[in-house]
Amino acid sequence: MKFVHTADWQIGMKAAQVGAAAERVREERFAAGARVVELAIERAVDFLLVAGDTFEDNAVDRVAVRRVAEILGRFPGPVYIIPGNHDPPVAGSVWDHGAWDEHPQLRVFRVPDVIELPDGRLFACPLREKHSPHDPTRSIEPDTSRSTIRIGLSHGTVEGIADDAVDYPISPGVCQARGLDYLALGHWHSTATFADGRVVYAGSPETTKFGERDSGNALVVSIDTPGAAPTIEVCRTGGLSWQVIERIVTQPRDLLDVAQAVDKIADPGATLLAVRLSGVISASDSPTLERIDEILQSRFLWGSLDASRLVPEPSDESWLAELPSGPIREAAARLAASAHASAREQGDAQTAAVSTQALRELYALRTEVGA
Amino acid sequence: MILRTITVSGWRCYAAAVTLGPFADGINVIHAPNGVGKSTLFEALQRGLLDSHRVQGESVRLLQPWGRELAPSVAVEFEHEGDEYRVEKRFLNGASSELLRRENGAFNRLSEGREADNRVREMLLGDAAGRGLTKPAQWGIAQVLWVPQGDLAFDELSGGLTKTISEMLGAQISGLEGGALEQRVEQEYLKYFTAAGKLRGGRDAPAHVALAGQLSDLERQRLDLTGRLEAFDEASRQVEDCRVRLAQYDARCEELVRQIAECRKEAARHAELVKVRGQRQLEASEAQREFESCASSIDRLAKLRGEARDGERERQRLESEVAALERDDEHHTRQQSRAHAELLTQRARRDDVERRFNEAEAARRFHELTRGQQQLSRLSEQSGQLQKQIVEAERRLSELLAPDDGQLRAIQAAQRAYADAHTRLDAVLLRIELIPAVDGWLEVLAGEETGGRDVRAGVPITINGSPELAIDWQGVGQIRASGPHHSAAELRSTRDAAAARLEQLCRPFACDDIAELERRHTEGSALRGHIGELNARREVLLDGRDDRKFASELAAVSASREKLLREHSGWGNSPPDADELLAAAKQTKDAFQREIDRLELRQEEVVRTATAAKERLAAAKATLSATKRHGDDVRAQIDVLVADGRDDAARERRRSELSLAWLGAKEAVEAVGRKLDAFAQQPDDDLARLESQLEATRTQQCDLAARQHQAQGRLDAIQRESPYSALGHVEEQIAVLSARIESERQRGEAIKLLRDTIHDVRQEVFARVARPIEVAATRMLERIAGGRLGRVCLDNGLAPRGVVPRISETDVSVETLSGGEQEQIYFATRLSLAERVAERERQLVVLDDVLTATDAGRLMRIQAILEEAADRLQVLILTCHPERYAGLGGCVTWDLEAAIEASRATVG
Repeated sequence: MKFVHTADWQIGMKAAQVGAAAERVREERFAAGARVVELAIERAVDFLLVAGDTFEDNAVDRVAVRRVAEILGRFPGPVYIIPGNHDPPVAGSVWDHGAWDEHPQLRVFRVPDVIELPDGRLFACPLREKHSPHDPTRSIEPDTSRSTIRIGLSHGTVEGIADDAVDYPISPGVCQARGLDYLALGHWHSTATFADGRVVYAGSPETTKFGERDSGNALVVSIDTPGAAPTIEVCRTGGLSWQVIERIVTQPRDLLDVAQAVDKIADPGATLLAVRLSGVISASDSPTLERIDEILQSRFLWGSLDASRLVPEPSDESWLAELPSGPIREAAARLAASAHASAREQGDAQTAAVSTQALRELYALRTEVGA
Repeated sequence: MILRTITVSGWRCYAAAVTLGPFADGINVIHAPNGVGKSTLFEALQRGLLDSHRVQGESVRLLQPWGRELAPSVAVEFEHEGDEYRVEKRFLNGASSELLRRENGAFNRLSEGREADNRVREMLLGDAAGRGLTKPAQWGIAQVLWVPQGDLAFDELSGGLTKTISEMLGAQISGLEGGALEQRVEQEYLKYFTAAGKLRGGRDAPAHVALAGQLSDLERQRLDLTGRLEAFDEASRQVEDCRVRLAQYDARCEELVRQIAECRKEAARHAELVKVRGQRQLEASEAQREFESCASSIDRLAKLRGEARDGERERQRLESEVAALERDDEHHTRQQSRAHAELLTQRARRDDVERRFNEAEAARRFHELTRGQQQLSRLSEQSGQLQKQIVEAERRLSELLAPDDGQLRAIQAAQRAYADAHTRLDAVLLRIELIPAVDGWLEVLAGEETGGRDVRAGVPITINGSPELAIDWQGVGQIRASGPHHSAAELRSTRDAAAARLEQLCRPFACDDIAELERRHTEGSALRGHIGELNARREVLLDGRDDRKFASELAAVSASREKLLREHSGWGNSPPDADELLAAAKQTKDAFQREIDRLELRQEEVVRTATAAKERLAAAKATLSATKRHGDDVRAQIDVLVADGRDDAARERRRSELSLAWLGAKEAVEAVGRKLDAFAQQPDDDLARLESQLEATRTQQCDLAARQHQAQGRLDAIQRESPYSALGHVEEQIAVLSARIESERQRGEAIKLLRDTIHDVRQEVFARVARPIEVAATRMLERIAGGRLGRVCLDNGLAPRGVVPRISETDVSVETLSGGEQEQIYFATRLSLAERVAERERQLVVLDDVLTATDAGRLMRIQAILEEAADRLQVLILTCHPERYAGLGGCVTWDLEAAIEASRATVG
């Protein structure tokens, strides 16, 4: 059999950290979902598995629910959907929407169930609440006879991948214990495989935040015979790129490199870029810094420049010498010293940032007055 | 710069040219009386060095001498940085300016016109001349060094001078560019903060403050939406809870329905058994009834037969008894009649008893009346005797003519009055006692009694009178006597009135002898007492009755007695013995009463006995009648019982059969009872309980369904709001706004830090500039005024702000000090500043009539300081009190008045 495994569409998710780009981020998730369905159609798979957290919350906009139902409804074959911890099938949940009934091929499992597949059997293990210390796969009757291809569909955390006490813990040996050929999981947003490729997270089809290792994918899975190792093809479905450029600036060249790196990013209109700089900055670096900020603001879908951990270069006194003698120069020297002392000796990043910005403001005003 | 000479002409009071100089390098004192032109000279020095020669206006035209159309001119020779210069300026008509420098022993022109003006200012002040007259604030260093009259105090020095002084002290002050940059920083600062350092608000608020309101609104929206989301979750939980519980209720209802069905079957079976048991019981009851009826009939028949026999015997006995009772009743009736007759006879004797009592009472009454009559007669006789004695005493009293107490007192009082009047009169009368030796005749001409009288030899004659006595004694002469003039007439009148009163009072008693009247009074009182006693005794006798009543009573008693005598005629001669009669009457009465009592008792007993006999008879008859009826009933019942035609044996057989049938029926009932006992509980009760539970469960189910419906409604309503999506939008707006606000806030903080740092540095720089000045001024002040005032404090303009006395930690404002101390503080400050300025080059200090409020002692100390300062400064003192500065060492004095006179002489 061949199927597409997807999960964690997180439709309706909030993206406050990206401000005005949040709406675009949310809209892209629909597009990514559509790409998953298109992938499934293109690859002519037997069915589509959606392993939970299709929606970010049960209280999302009902229009979004209909849109998802219609997107999934485009697939001509069966679509097996389980609720996750974000969208459990409680009263008022997204699964009560009438749109699901309009597409007969969509099957939403509200309770654990077993259905017969053409070449196997599907064990659906939906979640019924947001938190639980229980293994959601416990309802799967063990059968290690390998008489048929057994597919599990669930949502939770494979034990060992997080140090904290987790919800819905799933043993890495679940496939061996219960005789599953493949366990399609959702919950973690990056594509990952465990237990020799049988316990698999599809990951979110669209990245949800900075720092996700490998999100924006859907999986095309093929299992030829019972007991055979699954063949997993990771297919890119994400439309946006979330990137972080973190650099320690020690010399002016470093900042130029950052500027160039920013400049070279392809398709900035579909990129969310966070630039985080630390280190030392000379007065002459200010224009470069401003240029980086302007590019981020003007060219990218969303851009952020965090220069709060940059402090003035202690040996850079040239620009101080250009200041009028007297209180102004003295004040500038003090601000520079304060920035350094706060940053390095006292660990007071806030004071260092304010002192540095004060110097930058002085520099800008001085340039303005001098002009 | 130090001054060498000054020449002034056509300048106010200086019509002709006046030249002063060359001045010494040290102290120069220019003195002149008021109005001579000291200050004008100083003014000319200022204008000549600092003003443009082309100034116009009324203030310049006032420089012209009164009534003259002269062009004010001034020429100043001075030294600056080792060179000698001379500037010549002419104002108004033919305005000109020339600057010359001594070269090779002669002054050569260096510049002229505006160039000359500017060059002089640049040498002295470093800036060009202005368009108008230069004000002290534009004097540069001279602002400190030159003190016009009355201007020793100063508020602040110009910024340029402060900068100059600071630079002289090595302090770095921002130049033009620095100033512009500082202004720019300040501008940016003022976009965020007020001059007082507070964050701006209102329309001028910085962006992050202005946006705070929007952020607050968004936060409120977030709070609301978060609440809606929580409400959504809560409603969802409620709906879920209701679903679970409804499912539980459904299961419960199904179970109850099943139990009810089971219970109904049991109840039906139970009911059937109960019905069967009822039937069996009826049958058993019927069998028992038949048996008992048969047995009862047999027993009753036997009983009735026994009763019939007993009844017959009883009837016979009762009939005998009734006959005996009838005879007894007749006997008692006869006895009752006899007793009643005897009682009536005895009662008829009551009148006799009463008659005896009446007689005894009459006798007693007769005796009583007799005694009363005798007593009354005796009292009457006694009363008569007393009455006679009273009459006699009253007669004697009336013949006595005795005054009573009041009359006697009145007479005595009149007697006293008369005696008193007489004594008074006698006291005032003149009295002459004549004892004639021979017989004769005299006439009293004036005296108490006038008229003639015979005199006898040896018989004294007393003659009274008042106020004089006049006696014409025949043959002897006249004798006159006079005395104090008293009103004997009044006394005499009083005496006469008293005598008349006495006579009037005594007249009813025909006696004017008081003693006699007193005797009569005493006797009269005794008679009256006796009369009173007699009256009292008579009243006692009469016992409150008057004579008429007394007589009437006596008559009544007598009449009553006569009546009794008529009724009992023998009593007159032989009075009855009332006691004896009474005793006889009592005795008779007692005997009568005893007999009556006996007869009445006897009658009661007889009546009782008769009544009892009648009752017995009636009872016996009733019993007999009842017995007869009972006997008839019994026979009738027996007839009924034997009407079936059976004999006794047949009846016995019937009873046995019925007994067996009854036992069988009872056994059948018990069998059904055992089946019913097999039921543990009453099925009907269980059924009722289960149905009640079902009803309650369905009711709860309905309620829960309603609550679920409501919760679902709330859930649907919130669902339509899409709170999660709405919350996401709001949080995104908050993030954007917060970032912007934070950016602005941080920029504001950075600008503030920048501005405050610059400000702090300026303060420190200034402190470095001001501190040496303060120290020098403090030391100088201490030398002048002692240590009481303490430390001099300067403000940002290097002007004295106040002092900090040693005993105080706080500033004392200059304005609160005395005028002299203010002068000294400002003088010390100026001189300290001047010495700083003069560190590179000797400078000119001009003091135009200052220190006018300083006392001589402190002025002396100031002069000592000036002497020291003369090492570094050229001091020019303008004064109208040269004597004050006579003690100044090394001082050159200039008599301005003499100089002016000399110049006039030169011109003239």
